[in-house]
Amino acid sequence: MKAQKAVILEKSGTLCTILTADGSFRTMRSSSAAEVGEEIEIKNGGGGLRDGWGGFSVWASAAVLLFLILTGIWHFGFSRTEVPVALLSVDINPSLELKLNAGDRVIQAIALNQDAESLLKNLSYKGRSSQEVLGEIVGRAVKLHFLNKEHPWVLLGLAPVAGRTQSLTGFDLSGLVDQLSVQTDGQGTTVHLAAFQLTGDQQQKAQAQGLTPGQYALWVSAEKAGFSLSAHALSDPAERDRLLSEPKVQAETGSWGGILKMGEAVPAQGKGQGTSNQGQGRSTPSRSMPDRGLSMSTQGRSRSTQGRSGSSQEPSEKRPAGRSVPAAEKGTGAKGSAEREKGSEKHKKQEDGQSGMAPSQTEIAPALQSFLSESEAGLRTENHEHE
Amino acid sequence: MPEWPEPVKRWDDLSEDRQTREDFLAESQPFVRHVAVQTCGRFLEWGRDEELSEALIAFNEAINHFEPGKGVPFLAYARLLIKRRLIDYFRRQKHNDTLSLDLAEVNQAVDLRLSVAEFREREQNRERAQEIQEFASELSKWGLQFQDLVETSPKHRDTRASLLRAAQTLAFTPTLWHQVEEKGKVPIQALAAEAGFHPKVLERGRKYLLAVALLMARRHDYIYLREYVIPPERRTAL
Repeated sequence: MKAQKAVILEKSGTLCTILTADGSFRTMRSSSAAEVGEEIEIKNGGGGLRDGWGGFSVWASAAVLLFLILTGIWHFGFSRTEVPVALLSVDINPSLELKLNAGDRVIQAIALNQDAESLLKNLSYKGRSSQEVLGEIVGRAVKLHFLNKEHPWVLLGLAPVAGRTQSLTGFDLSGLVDQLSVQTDGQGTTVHLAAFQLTGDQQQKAQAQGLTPGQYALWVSAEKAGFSLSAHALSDPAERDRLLSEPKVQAETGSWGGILKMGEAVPAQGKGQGTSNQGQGRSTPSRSMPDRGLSMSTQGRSRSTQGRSGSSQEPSEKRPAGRSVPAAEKGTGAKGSAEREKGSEKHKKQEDGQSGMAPSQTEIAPALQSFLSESEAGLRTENHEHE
Repeated sequence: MPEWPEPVKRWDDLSEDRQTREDFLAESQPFVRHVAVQTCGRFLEWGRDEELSEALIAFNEAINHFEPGKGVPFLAYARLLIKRRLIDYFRRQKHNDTLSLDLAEVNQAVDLRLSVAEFREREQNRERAQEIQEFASELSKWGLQFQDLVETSPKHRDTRASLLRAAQTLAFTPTLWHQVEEKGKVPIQALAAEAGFHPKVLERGRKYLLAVALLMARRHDYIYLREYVIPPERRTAL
C-alpha cells in the first residue's frame, strides 16, 4: 500500500486535521506523540497514523487500523485490491456513480443527488459485479417509480478514473446492457437503456462541465444531431429523456458506437399482449473507431417496434419506437385494448415527430421483419465503412 | 491556464554557473524583501536599507549550503537563514526595538551556521507549525476554519484535481485574484469562464478553492503548505 505524506494542521484530543500530499483536508485519529506542524506518513486509503521519522511501530499502526475498521470509521478509501480503475455513471432521475476495480467489481457507490441516496440506501454492493449491482439499482428504481412509462430511460456512462489514460479493457458494456435488458424485460418492466464508453480525455471534459460520463456523451450526441443546448440542461432528467427519445439523437449515438436498447416488457402470461420480441441487439466485435470527438467501440443497435391499435407503421421508418407496455397488462382482449389505447396516447407524446399511430398487433410481424432486415443491412454497411 | 511563477531550476546550474546564480538572485529579490519586511516589521527599500543587503547575503549563503533532495524546501531554509542574519544584524546594531520578534529570541545568540540536516531536525517542524498558525489566522479573516475545509474537501480524485487546477487559475490570474482581495469572495462566474469549469462545480467547492488559492497565491508565506497543493513536479523546485 503506497504511503503519502501529510502534515498535521490541528489537534483536538485524539483527532487531528491533516493536509495530505494530494491536496486533501481530512480528519483522522492520531497518537499523542504527533504535534501540529509535524509531517507524517499515511497509507493511501489508510486510517492509521504512522510517523515518517520513526514514531509508531508497525504493530501500533496495525492496531490503529484494526481499531478504525472495528469502529466503522474506515472511510478513507481503498486497499490494494480496491483500487478503482473505472467509474460507471447511472442517470435515471436519481444520478449515481459506481466505482469499479479491474475485475469489474463495485467498490464504491456514490449518490450524486438526494433521490439517489434513497436508491442506494442499504444496498449491498461491495465486491459484487457491476451487472448485479446495476440490475438491483434498476429494479429499485422501478419499484420506487423513478422508472416508469413517462421516464423509461436509463443512461449509463463508463469512463476511466482520473489519471488513467489507457482505454478501459476487460469491461463489457455491451454485455452489461444486454443482460440488464433481458432482466428488466423478463420482469415485465419497460426500460430503455443508453450506454456510452468514454476515454480519459473525454471524462476530463465531462468533469470540467460538471457532467457525468453518460450526460456528457448524450450532450455531445445531441449537439452533433443539431440540438443547441447548454451542458447544464443535461442535468434535467426530463430533458435527457426527451433527447434520448429523439430519433436524430438516437441515430447520432448509434453512428459513433453508443449502445441503445429499447426495452420491451414481456408479461409473464397473456396472449396478444404486446409482442414477444425483446430488444434486438446486434453486436459486432469491438474495435476502435476513428476519433470523432468520442472514440468508442462499435456495437450493435437494437431496434424494435410494437403493435398498437391503429394504422400501420411505415416499413421504411427506421426510428425505434419506445414502447410502453404496462407491466400488469394481462387478461381479456377488451382490457388489453384499453391499456394499449392508453399506452398509445402516451407513446404519441413521447415520440416527437412521428406521425400517425403504430401498427396493430396483427401487422407487427411482417413490418418488424422488414425493419430488422433493413437495420441489419444498414449496420453491415456502416461497419464496412469504418473498416 | 496561467503558468507557475517560479520556473523549475537545476541545482547544479545554480551552484556552479555564475550567471545563473546572478539571475536567480535577481529573480528572488521579491522573496528576500518579503521575508526581510516581515522580520523587521517595516517598509524596506533596495539601495537604501542595509537590512535588505544583509538579507540578500543570507540568501546567497543559503544557496551555498543548501543540499537538494533532503526533503527541505529551499525557500524555507533560506527564510530561516535570512531571519537569523537579520536578528544578528540588529543585535550588532542595537536596534532591537524595531524587530517584530520575541525579545527572548533576539537576546539569544544566533548561530548563523545551520546545515540543512540541522534545519530539518531542529527547526523545520517549528517553522511549519508557525506557517500553519499564520494560515489558520488568514483563513479566519475569510470566515473559514480547518473543519470547513475538511467538509468541503472533494472526496473524488477527479473533482479535487479539477478544483486544484481552478485554484491555480484563480491565484495566478491577476484580474481574478484582484477581485478576490478587493471583494473578499471568489468570482465564480468569471473563474468558470476563464478556467473552463462549470460554475456549479466551483460553487460546491468554493471554500476549498479559496483556501488552496490562498496557499498558491501567497507563495512566500506558505512555503511548506503550498507543497501539498501544487503539482508534484513543482515541489521543492530546486
